[in-house]
Amino acid sequence: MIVKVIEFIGAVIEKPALGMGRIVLLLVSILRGMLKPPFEIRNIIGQMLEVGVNSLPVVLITAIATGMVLALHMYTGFSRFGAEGLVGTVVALSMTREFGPVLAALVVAGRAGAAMAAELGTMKVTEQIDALETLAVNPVKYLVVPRFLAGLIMLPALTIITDIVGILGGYFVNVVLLGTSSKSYLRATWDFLQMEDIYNGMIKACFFGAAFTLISCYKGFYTSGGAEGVGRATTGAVVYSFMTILISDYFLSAWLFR
Amino acid sequence: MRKSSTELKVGIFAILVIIVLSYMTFKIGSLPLLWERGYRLYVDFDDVNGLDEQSRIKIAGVEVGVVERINLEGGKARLTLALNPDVTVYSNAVASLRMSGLLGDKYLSLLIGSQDHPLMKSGEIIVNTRPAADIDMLANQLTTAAKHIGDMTKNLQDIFGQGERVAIKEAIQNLNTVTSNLREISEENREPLRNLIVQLDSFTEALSAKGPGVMDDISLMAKNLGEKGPELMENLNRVANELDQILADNKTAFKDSMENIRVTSESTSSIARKLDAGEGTLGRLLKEDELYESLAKVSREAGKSLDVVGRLRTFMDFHTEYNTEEAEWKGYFNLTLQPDKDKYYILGIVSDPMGSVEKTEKTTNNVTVIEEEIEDKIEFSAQFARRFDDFTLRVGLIENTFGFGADYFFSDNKGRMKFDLWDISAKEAKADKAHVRLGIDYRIFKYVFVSGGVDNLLNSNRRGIYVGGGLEFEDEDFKYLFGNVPSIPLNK
Repeated sequence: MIVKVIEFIGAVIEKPALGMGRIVLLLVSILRGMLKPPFEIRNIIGQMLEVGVNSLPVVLITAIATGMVLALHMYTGFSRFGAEGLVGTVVALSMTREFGPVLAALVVAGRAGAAMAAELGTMKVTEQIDALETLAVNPVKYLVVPRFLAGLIMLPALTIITDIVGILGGYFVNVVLLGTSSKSYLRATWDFLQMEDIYNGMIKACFFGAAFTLISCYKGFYTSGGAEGVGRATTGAVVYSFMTILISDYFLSAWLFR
Repeated sequence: MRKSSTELKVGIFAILVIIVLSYMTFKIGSLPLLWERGYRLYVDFDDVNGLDEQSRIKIAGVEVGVVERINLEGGKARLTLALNPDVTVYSNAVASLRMSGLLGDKYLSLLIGSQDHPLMKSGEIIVNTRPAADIDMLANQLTTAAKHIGDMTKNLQDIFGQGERVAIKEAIQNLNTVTSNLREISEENREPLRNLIVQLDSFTEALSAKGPGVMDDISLMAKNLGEKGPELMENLNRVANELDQILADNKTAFKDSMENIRVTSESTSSIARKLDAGEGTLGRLLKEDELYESLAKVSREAGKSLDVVGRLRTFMDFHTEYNTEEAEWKGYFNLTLQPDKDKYYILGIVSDPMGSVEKTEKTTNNVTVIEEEIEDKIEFSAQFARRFDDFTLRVGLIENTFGFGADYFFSDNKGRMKFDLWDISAKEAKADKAHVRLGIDYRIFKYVFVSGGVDNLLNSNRRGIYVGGGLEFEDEDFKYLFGNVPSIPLNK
């Protein structure tokens, strides 16, 4: 009886533990691959285009919409106790600290993360990855490292863009639509914002970038079961990426902003 | 080539990011740079609660620096002020803590002092300070005020000492006794009092009836009587005698004249009665409202008729539609006459490409072939529409046949959802059911609208989507074609 219970617990834990172990091992081999030449610059730039530049339109729309909505609600709320002047401050702080990194990460994870998992998954089930190994090419170094680096570099960059575009969206709603003075809105925005707010947002974004590429590549790398498996891997990559981003966001915020 | 384009894109992106980042850094970080080169002054405060390092320093509301450091020196807060190099402060300067708004940040406000005092140099201490004029102070003052009020009530209490209190109490008690006594008296003597009052009442009544002069007369009379008593009595006696004589002589004449007066008054009252009842011409004229009413009606109707023309709004619209199923253009011209807000008339001309069907029977080699030739035709619509809020019902002639429709207006009358049903007997070409169409018009500019929808819903072989657009505008002059000569209906 007791043995069965223990077996059950083991069975429950085994799979997540296996996954965690594989992710850690993948991360270790990524880090090792990053340090060793040759550095696949072309490959990295290609992935940067895919992860960063091509995600820009979606990120821009998300950012401007969020900034505008945020400003609108803040204005309504603050005007109830006569503090409309603080809308700019709150919009700027929430964009840089929270919405910038999180929204950029979610959009990119949904777009590029899914693509990564699907791409690597297809390569896996069609045994292209095995073929690479046969040719003495380290598949992690060749396929995963560029993606990982692209995520690590491009997400903070996209965060910066999200921050400024969100602030502009807030500016548009408040100054153009609601008629706050442009000067005082900008003052409220820049006077209370500090460099830590922006840098900490970027640190969060780095973490998110690394996390979603790692998860997506892991999901792609361990795909099995043909076309259906690729589908599963893609879904899993997006779901786990989102969960990781949202949950870790709280802990990162608590740690970075105290 | 393709590779370099990738690199180009990534490069542009990188430059963009760097520009934005440095812009933001500059925006946030640039402020302190200006006064970092400036000079330092110190000031001591008892309490700087709410003030932080990097808080702003303002002179007359203009930012001139930041509070660089706050540290404790001998139980007081010592602030290090980093000031703009071109700001001059004199030794009698005053520093005070202020708040920007009720919820705002604290900042340090400086009055630069007067020029007859020496200029302050870096490292000197501003001696004059004023504590924060903020909620704390307000609360302090309120506390003081509350204390004063407390004192005042206490003083009042002291004024009314024990002796005064007893006196007041006694006075009240006395008042009480007096009123209760009064009540007892009035209760015991209720009946006599009432009689007294009644008599007084009748007396005053009599007095007032006989006029205010009575009292004077009485007193005068009494006086005169006293003086001329005997003589007067004699005269009176004689007068009475004479009067008696006169009355006796003219008894009949008096009687006759009284009778005449009575008859005259009677006939007068009869005339008045008849007039009042509307008898006779004059009476009728006076009594019946007909004349007045007809006059009033005439003027009212005239007014209304002119009013209708004035109120009438006319709209014209021209539009055309392309029907995808029939691959034909259909043209419309409508004139809408709107006498008031809730109803209007639509008169329209439609050029219908599927208008009429010409059936010709041809018999060649014993085979009879019916050829249908469809021709375009001009058709007419005339509808009466009644509007209920955003909803309009129309009925009348649509494209030469009886039909009805309904409209729903939305987004401030800019858009209109239309439903039309006509040609119930299915006389149109290739139709075996009534013609039903459902569509939406939307006004994109002031005069321009677009329309689209599904045409001929019930006839599957002619069902199609139509799109189109046109112009609709209000015409101010057209209505006077109808309204120049208003006819005045008199008998209505």
